[in-house]
Amino acid sequence: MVTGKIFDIQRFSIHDGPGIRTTVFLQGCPLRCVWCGNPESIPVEPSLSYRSEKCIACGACLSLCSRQALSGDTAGKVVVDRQRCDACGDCAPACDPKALEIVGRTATVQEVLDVVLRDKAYYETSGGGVTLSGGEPLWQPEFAAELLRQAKDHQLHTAVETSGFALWGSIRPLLPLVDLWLFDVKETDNRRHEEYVGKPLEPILSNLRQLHDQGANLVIRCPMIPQHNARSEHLNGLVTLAHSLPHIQGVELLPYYDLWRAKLDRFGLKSDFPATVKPPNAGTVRAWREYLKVRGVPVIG
Amino acid sequence: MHQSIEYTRRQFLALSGATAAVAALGELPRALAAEAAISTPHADIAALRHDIVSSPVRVALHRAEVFTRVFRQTEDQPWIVRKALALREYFQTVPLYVREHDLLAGSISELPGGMPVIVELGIGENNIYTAERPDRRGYLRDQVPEEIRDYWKNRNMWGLFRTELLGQAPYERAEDVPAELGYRFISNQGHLSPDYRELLRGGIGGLLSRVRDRRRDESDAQRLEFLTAAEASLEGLSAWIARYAEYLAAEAAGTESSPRRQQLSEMSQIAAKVTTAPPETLREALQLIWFAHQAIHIEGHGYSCTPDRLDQLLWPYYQADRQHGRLDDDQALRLLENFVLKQYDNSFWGSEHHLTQGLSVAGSTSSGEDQTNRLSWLIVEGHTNLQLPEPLLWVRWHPHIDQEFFDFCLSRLPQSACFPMYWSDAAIPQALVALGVDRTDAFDFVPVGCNELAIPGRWYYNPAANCGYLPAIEAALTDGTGYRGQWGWRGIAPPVSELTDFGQFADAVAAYVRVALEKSYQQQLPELEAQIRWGKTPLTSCFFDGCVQRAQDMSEGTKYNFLSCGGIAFANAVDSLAAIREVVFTSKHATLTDVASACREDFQGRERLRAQLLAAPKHGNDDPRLDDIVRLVEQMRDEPLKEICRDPRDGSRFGNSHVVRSGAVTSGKHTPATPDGRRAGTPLASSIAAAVGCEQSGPTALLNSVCKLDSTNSWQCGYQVNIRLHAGLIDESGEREKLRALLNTYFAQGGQELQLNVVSSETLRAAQQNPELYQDLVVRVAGFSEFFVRLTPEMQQDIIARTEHR
Repeated sequence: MVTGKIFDIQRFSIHDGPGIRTTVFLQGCPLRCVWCGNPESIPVEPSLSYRSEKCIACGACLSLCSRQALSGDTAGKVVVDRQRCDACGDCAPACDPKALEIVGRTATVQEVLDVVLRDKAYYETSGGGVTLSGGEPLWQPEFAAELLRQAKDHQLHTAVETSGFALWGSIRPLLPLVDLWLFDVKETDNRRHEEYVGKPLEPILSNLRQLHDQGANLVIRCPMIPQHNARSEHLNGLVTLAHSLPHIQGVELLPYYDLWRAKLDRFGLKSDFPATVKPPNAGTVRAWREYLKVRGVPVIG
Repeated sequence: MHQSIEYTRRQFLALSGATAAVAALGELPRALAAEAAISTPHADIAALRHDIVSSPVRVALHRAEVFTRVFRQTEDQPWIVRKALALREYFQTVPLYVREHDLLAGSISELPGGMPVIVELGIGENNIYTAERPDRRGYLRDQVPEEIRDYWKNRNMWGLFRTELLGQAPYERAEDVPAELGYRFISNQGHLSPDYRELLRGGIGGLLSRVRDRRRDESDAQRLEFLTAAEASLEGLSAWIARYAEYLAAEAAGTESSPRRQQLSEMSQIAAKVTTAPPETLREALQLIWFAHQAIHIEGHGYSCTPDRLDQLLWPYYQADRQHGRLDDDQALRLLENFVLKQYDNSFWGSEHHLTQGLSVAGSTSSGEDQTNRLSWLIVEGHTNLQLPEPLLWVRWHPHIDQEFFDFCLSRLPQSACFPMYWSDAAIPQALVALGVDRTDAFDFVPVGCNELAIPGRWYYNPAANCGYLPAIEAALTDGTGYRGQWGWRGIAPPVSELTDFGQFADAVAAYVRVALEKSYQQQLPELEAQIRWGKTPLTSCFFDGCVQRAQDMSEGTKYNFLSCGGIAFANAVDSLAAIREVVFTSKHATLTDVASACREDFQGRERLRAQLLAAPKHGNDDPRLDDIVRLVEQMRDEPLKEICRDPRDGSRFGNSHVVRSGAVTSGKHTPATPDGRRAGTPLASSIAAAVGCEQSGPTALLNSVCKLDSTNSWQCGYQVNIRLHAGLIDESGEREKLRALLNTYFAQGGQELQLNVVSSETLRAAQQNPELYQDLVVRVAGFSEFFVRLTPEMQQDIIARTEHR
């Protein structure tokens, strides 16, 4: 029985491929994007999420921690010592209000598919299906392949959202199983790519080209981060890239959002990413899209 | 409180935005009052709307005076004849007016904005509304003369019901009559849709001839009474219209402006024609329907009337007008907008009192053919142009609905807030057939009221029992005494100490449901008897199948007579049982007595138990662990309903419905904490789909949960499902396409009803304050959607700003 690590299943997902979809988020990512929107999904191990607003100060968890990572504050609410906590998960089942939760769990393909198939009728009406996202879904190639294979057995439309940073050997077996690739390109400058993402650009572009040349359906997705990749050089880089890949369905720009900041406390994470970086306004995003459009790039959205 | 009489509809519209108390209407944003937002292309319609919403609410006494006089003079005559004679005299004498810019004549009373008092039923405020808005009572105080109140105190339907059917002592003084009464005792049954096909075919003259022909061969005294009454009331209706013809001609003569003079003169000619003759044009047909419909309200059906299926009835007239070049779509739109405003101008209990009038468009034939026509489009456009909370607008979905039309309907949501609402031809007719309705009739259904159903002229909705799930659970937890010892139910179910598994507990709840259901049925039977004796409406009966032929009032029976059992808070009941099963019988964290005491104390000091109860599976999340409980709760009511409740007139079975309106909020205020973890005083579930704050898995899961209900056999008389949407999910056609696919799938899977509420910025602010109540709210951020409560405060602020500056 093939199992994998997932951290969420989102139903009625309407922005990750055509139609109404269910998106399965796989845990673990090799990249270290400085603006990462799902920092809890980077490690392949589970994380302990703590939301103090849900804590009812019942103290039920305190004695359960073998590492003494949990204590009560003056109001009786839990404080998590992140140095001590190893996210073993002993405390979470005792937390009735779900203030303490383990995010990231092992699931069988069947378990995931059971949830995915509940909305099959909606996929059929809307031309939707299932999307694997992450984390990086290709980081768990066997699980991803099995999930996609079984989804195909149920005639579901399949999409994979990937950073493209993987061995071609783990991508190739998926080719017949994936109807649409949502392929991220985060930066077109080699040096900056290393700086922002922590990995080289070259293998990503190589995978992109191979997918393209083998006839895969491709949408290129580009997060646009102010003061980082939101520069005309990068936009020009995207124009060049798009022109070199004539069969792509289009390029989709994803403006930066700072939803992740709320997660830092929740997961006990730190970030050096400057708070001065703010989400771009709608006019700026429109201008970026226009910039690509007038240069002949098929822009989605 | 007297100053409240000065409220205008405009002020009420502005106020009502903040409350959203009327569940059936969903959000009523302040924008409804903002005339800048209305989008009618017709300046005169905008002016007419302004005139209507600015009218002060007043009590109009002409009807009360005429009815008192005529009833006094006719005390030896049968009730139904007295009613008809009084109605005829009212029509012959009521002072007429027409609002500037109005192209349709016919008003509820002699005063613009004035509301009649239906003295022969009861004199009082509607206790449903005063429960919803305790701050808004006192419209009638000191407005109805002592002499009138004194005459009726033991003589109207309320007084006679008390003295003759309940055996209570007569009132000594008029002021002993309660200030608030149930709606049946102040505006009769309502919840109906008259059949206007015969009216259009033969005109009022045709109806009158039929009554007179029928009367000629009749010798039975009682049947003659009905026919005499029907004839007199139709004569009254005809006389009223003839008086309008004269009045409008005189107004035309006295009007300087030549376009308006021309309009008034045309209106006069139309009125003169439809006084007896059938209509030939769309405008004539619409005017005749309005006269008849307004007359039905004047006769006393004040509540929840839907005028047949206008797009279907008017279609031949529209086609003929277009063929002869008499009408273009802009003129048709103007007339339909005017009709919508006539409905809104129809005041009964003051401006804050929604009469839940409706308009139903589209649908299919029994063989599945799409009945959407150009008028369906124009009615949706006209209604949503005006941004009014009433009439309610419904579209009947079916598998072959014109998808372009469906998309158009959805595209109108952001400006209309919640209209149109949807009912499914793939679910309702099947349920009606299961109750014994002919298939063809079943495909002619219309919604009436908040979420009730009717078949024009063949069946009207009438509740005659109710089902209290939550009190039954409370009783089962407390040996029948209630949390505060307020009840003395003994020997109905075993004591708590003997309920050792979930099955036994569920059986105990079922036993209390059964007893309460039977009690409610026994209590409501006398009300039905009162309706039959003193709630007769001979005029309305002329628009109901078989009444003239059988010569009997509609209250004594029409083609189909199935009464309905209502209940509220279905989702809370499912969740409460699921939580008890999980916490008491599976994980054994607590005993039944613990749960009872925690509910009694509103979970004070029992936060952990509350968290455990809240953590149990919740209806609305497509959770298979609840499937058996959903069925169980349905059966708890269905089985006793089948055994106990029968229509006393013909033995018909009861249907069941999930009652909404504001019950969820007002009943919630008086409901103690419930074992699902809900706190005392907070709203109950208004939607059948989920309790407040419990839907956390998105709309597909929510709708799948609804589709697990047995709509054909358990919800024949309707339920209600609400989804809240942010306008950002509707604005773009690509996203709307996904929304449409969502709804197509839901209805194809058996969903009965759906209301989409577009959230206002006020709702978003409320969600910031009380995130636990708004767990379901999905908003479009940009390129992605997210639960609103999960966004950072800055992003929430951004979404609010965008909502306000759309």
